[in-house]
Amino acid sequence: MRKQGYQPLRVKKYIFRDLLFHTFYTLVSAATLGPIIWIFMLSFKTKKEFATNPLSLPRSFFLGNYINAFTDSLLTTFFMNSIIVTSIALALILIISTLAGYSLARIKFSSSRILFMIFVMLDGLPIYILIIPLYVMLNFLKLDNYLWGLIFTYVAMRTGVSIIIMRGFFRSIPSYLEDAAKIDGCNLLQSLWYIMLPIVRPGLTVAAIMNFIFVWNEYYLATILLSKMTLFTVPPGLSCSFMGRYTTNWPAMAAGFTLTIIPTFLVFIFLQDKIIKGWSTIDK
Amino acid sequence: MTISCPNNICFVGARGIYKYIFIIKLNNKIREGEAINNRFMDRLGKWRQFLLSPNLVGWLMCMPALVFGVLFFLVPAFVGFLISLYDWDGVTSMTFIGLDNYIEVFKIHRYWNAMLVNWLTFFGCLLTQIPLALFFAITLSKKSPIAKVYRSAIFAPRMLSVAAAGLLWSLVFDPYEGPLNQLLEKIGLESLTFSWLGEPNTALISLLIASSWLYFGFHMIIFMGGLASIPKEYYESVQLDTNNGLMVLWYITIPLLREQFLISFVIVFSGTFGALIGFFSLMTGGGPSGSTELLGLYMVSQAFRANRFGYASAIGVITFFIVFIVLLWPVIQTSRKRLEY
Repeated sequence: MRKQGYQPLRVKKYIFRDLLFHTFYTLVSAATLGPIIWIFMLSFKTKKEFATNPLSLPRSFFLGNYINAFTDSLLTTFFMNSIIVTSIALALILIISTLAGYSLARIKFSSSRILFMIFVMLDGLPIYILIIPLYVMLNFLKLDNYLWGLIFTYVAMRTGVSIIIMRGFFRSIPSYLEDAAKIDGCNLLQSLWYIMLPIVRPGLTVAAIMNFIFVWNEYYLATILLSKMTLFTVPPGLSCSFMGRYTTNWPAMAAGFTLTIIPTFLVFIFLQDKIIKGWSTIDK
Repeated sequence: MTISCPNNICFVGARGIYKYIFIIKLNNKIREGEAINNRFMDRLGKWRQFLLSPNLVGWLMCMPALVFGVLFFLVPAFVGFLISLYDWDGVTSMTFIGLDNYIEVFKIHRYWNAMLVNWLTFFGCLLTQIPLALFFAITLSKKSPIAKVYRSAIFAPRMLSVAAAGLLWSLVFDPYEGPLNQLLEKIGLESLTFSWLGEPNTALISLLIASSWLYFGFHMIIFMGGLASIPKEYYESVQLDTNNGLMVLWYITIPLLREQFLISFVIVFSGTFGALIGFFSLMTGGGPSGSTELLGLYMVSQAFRANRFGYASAIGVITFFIVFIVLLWPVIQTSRKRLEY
């Protein structure tokens, strides 16, 4: 007997293909996340346990490594330095890139195109090539005993990409909002502050998150441009205090590793969509 | 403004005429004053116009960013050029030697080796990361929640700092305690256990694997953003012509992802001259017999180990020009109009 009424089209189910897809991607995820999870487990092992069976799950919940990580190294100092550097650099980058992004997106002037090209170039050029003159300059200005030199270098490095992001967000706002503000008697800065900034707040958060991740994680410039260990930020601190030339206490290193990746991974877990948005909208 | 003759003043007689003349003169003076005033107001208006002109406002708002760019890119480049003309150990006085440093750079074998390693790293990163990223981006551009989970698992390593990733991978590749060798032993492939970072043959490949692990999720996200911005109509209309997935990929998807390819190219290129230096220096420090020595690593080791700041700056200046010239084309392309069918 034929069935009556609505019959959905028969959708062919690709069971084999789906299975292949999922196994493949589980393997890929294991390859990408595996080392991190493994090192997280390693941080709960004693040195002896690591020597006997490094690959298995930890037998006990050993916290000695974490205590060692704090007592044996200047981890608290590194964290404080990182917080100072990141917050000041973030504030400066956001202010500067908002102004420039607004000007490049909204104000029609003849040289805006060339200025934008300059900023794209600044984003592309790696500042690491200039590390020796920068070191000499900061030494000459006696800035290498402070965090300021590093902070300003980060600001210079990151304004390019932040300007590209902010310009994109400013361009997506319809222009009549600004015209209305002008008619009501706003001057340019007022309309930027009261009208535009509340609307581009998502753009600001995206730029802030991306710069946070970068500045928090930056390693090589910090090792070269900072002169003392007490000034080190987290990444150079991590490498200099846990990595020995010949013998390395790997479980203690794993504990330090886990502690130092917490801030970025918190951001990653809670603000993932914003990160993806930031990375995928690096266009005009 | 003019002063008219008031009625109560007597204009009869000589004094009256003088008064009359006086008033005329006064009026003239006032007119002149007004003219001056007008001219002044005009000038003020021009000044005001200039102050509010888009040119000035635009430049002023870009000024802070430009100042940072000049102070930290242009000035160091110039200072680097100046230092490169001198023989200087970083402490004592400098002696001017002209272009000798540059001549020496081109003669030294280690420099050309570093150059070769740098280009090998660049092409290695490009050829591993971008096809992988494109493949994963195309297969994971679905709206199912599980695809989202895979996606975040793939780009999670990018959240690590270079220092953390370097420590992790130097542990993984450690010949005695590293899990890679132990895993191989457990499977029974003891012949394959190897000092991965200690041999010139495998060091660069191991580092390339590690850096691909660190970065390809990032490129995947960029490509996913590009894929999301391609209108669906293109694919619908191409369905009329062909059902061949590869042809669609070649004729529709890849041309429309041109901008993302350029961005990825720039990131990989400036990465090999930049951020990868930290990664390599942590894991091998230039490697067994210079097999992983990037230009940046060679430069820094010449400056801080051999104390030859002039020579190192000469390398820096040459590298700066190479990078600048290679980046010019993509930069001009990215600030052009978007490609559309």
